[in-house]
Amino acid sequence: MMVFSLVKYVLTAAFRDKILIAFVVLAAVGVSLSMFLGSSAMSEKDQFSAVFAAGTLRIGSFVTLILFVIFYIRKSFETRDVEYMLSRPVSRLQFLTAHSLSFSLLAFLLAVITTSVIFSMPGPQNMEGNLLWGLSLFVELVLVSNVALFFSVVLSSSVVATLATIAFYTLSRMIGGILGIIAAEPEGGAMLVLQKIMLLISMIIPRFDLMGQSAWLIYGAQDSINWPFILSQGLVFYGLVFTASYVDFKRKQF
Amino acid sequence: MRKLILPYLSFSFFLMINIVFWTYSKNVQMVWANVPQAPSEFKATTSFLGDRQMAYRAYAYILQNMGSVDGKVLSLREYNYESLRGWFFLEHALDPKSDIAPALAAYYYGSTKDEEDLKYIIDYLKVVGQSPEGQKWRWLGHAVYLARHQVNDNDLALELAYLLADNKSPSLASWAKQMPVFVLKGRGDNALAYKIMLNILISNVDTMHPNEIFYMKDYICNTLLPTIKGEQRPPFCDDIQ
Repeated sequence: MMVFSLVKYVLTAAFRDKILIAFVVLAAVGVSLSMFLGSSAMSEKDQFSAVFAAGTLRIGSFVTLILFVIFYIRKSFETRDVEYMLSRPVSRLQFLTAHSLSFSLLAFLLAVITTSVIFSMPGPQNMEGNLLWGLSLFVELVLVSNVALFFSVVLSSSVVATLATIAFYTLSRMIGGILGIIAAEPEGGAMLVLQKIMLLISMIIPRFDLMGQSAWLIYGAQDSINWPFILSQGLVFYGLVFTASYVDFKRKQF
Repeated sequence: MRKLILPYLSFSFFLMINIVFWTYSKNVQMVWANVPQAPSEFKATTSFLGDRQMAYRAYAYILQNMGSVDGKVLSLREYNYESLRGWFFLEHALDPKSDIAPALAAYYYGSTKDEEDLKYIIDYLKVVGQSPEGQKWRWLGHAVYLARHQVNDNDLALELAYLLADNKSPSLASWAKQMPVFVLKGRGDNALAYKIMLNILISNVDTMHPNEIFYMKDYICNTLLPTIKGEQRPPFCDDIQ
């Protein structure tokens, strides 16, 4: 019961911060710009608009979510809200679960808004591809919001936590290309050591490059990437990042 | 009021400095360094955070507007077509299904009158035109047109025409199958053109539209045969006026 009260508390804070209104405005501006750019393309105008809007809104939802998560958590630490809440009958696990759930709900809302906007855009869109893209965006946002939660618990600076989350996201979207290069061009000497390091890092980095591909909106989903793959990757990595946050939060001395 | 004199003076000073600087900077224009080398597929994809389709569309947009910035419109002669070819092949690697990059190559950059530059475009259209996706064979047809009528290289046009005729796409049009005939006719190899056309007619007479059959008969009887000495007129020519 306590968990749900906390979820309500976090969601109220999010709505007070007007992140949904801000995101809707951002979506309106992003879609308008995308349609403007798409309309000036020589052909395939609708496809251009859909792809530009999808790319813009994906980055927009990512930035909106991580900024809220990090600045909310850091503020809670700085104003001693965390200590106050933990002095109530709330365990550290409950506290973390409630926050993770709240941020995931926010991720769901942003993913629903984004997918609806993309789907309502003109042009021949692929229904199945659109739904898979929406699911993929939701999983991606859940993961990055929980990574943002982890960094904001571990790091004491909001700016550093934001930069770390952006770096993680960028690496997650690049990791497929890096693995491809390692597989295609095995090197010797010092490069071999670097390759091994990258392989080790890639074990704990989700493959975001396989998720949320704008091509799905036009051509439909690929056979190799389907909803079980997306959900499996989401569950596996969610477990890792949530437990990492829990370990650090449990060790914290107040 | 006296306390504000120094802030006002310093603000006015920097305002003046800005205006002086503007008199110089307003005439400075970006110099276009021609078409840059295309990035590798990895760099291109990474620049758009792993989203290949986003990279494809963004680069297509750049290709469409390249050189036409700051109110300038450049002549196609000023573009480095060798670098452009790299960009088109990059686009093909990023999305082999879309038609925007071949359309830009064929209809926009293919409008140049420079024969050497056109060969780079033909190189690209030759590869795209052999893709099994959709009706990509049409780009090969355009490559034949460019080779034959713009570059005036009938050997190259014939090589491309044979590639087009061999395309296994079920959507391949009759004119595409007949393309070697038109190029051979242009080269003056009328006897070979006649044999190929007759062979296409005999092999496909059961499946072709009557209008198409009539056109082929007409082409054989009234265009090819009058140029070949000693060739016997087939019986169907009696029906064609």
